[in-house]
Amino acid sequence: MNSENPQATASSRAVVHYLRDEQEASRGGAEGGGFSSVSGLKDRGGRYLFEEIPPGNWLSFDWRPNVGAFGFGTALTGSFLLVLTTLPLSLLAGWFISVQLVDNRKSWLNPVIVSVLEVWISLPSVIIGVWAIIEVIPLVRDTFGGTGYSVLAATIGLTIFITPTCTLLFYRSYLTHLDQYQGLESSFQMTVLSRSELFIKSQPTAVIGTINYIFCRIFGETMVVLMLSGNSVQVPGDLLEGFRSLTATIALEMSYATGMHETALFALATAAIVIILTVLLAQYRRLTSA
Amino acid sequence: MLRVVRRQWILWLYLLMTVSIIAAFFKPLHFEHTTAGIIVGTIITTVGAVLLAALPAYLVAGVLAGIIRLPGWLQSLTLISVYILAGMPSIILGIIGFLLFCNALGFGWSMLSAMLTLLLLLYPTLVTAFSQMLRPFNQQYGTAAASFGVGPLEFLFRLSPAYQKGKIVDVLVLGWATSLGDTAAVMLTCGALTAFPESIMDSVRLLNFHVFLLAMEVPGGMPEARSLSLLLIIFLLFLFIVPRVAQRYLSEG
Repeated sequence: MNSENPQATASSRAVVHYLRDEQEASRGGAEGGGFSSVSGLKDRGGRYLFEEIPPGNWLSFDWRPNVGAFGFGTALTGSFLLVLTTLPLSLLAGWFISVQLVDNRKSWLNPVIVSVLEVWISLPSVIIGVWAIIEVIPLVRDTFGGTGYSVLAATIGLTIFITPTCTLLFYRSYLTHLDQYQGLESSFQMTVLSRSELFIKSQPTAVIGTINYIFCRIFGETMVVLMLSGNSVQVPGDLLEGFRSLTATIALEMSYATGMHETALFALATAAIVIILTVLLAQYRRLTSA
Repeated sequence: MLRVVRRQWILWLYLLMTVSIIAAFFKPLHFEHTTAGIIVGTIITTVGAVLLAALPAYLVAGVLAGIIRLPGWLQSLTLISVYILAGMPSIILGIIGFLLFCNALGFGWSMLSAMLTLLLLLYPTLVTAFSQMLRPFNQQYGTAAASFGVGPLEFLFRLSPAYQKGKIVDVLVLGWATSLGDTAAVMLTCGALTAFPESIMDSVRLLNFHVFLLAMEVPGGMPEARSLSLLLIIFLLFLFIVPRVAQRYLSEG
């Protein structure tokens, strides 16, 4: 059995290791270290995930917690793929709509659309997910075939969820500095592209802050992605295949996870926190001093 | 004295609400397999979360407006805490709440841990909203009050609300609408029982989590999910309109 394939050997070694520690843990598990046992990195029995499980295990693409393979690769790839597809779409849609809003800020339609966007923002993500299951999935299924649950459907649903936030962020930051642009707007014939360039060059803080914030929201969005992505533990080879994001993994498996599986989910959440803090704090100095 | 109290009808409404919530706990109504327990649990949890979160958020908005002076390191700590908490996805806050409130502090799956987790979620929203709506008034009149010897806390809790009741209620209702919509944070801290809650340590199922379960895990539950989400949407629209209308009655002059 040792000569079959090294991956099976590795996972069976991890299983044996896990089971042996399970027995030890059940003997002395109650006093697993007080408060530190409830930190995300330590098991209830006082074992560290990153000590017990070798890095080859949790850096791989193999997420089968029932045999002791806790590879974070699939979940992280799913989340990053979703961000990669949704971020540009939602930013572009938000910027375009905000430019239209700014151009027509004197008309009666403007407060109406701004109110509609504010209501849209306050809709819970579950409700947008339920609506998307009813409308978006059959649309994708009828157009492209296969099940409707795919990267494409998740992108569409998440863009619909995030676009009003983008729009209002860009709109408010444009209006705050409107006096800088008014002379240019009236004297030059500016296209949308040139105005975008002007906005980005003169307000890098606003743009970078918005991108950061939207990245964090997309990375952490659970409900819409859970409902639309199909939750198959794979790295999708196609935009029409299901995937599984990090937050969906945590949300789905937390209800029945025990022992090292639960600790692996906490470690997944810790990885998410680290990524988000990195993205947030990279621009902290610039954003707070402006 | 009765005439003075009768003019402030909103105090009567608040008293009625408090009494009815307390009374519901003394005489538990036997609702089984209905959505009454879910709706009551949702309302109590979300309202409790907003009321708990309002106080620290108001104080921190006072710090950000420059009224309350803190040592420098504490001031930057407040700023950075708002910034970090604002970017945290709600499921991470749910996990933090699960580990901290359910396990470490020992509350278990209860409304209390859900309220405290929603406090973590609402705190940056409320701070930003209070800061935006109350900052002009507070900054201007706060410095004026300081020159008269009126301390920052007295100003924030006695003088400022007299002029800004409408805006404060507006922000609280915004916080309520935010907390009503958040499923991932309460999924892990609140349990999933549909029974009518009998104490604050009881686990309830919130309405948005119920909609999620109906849509995803109960076969044939989609029509009920749709009707419940319609109910939620109508309630949120109502919450949008109420502060604008109430501002006319609550603002002075």
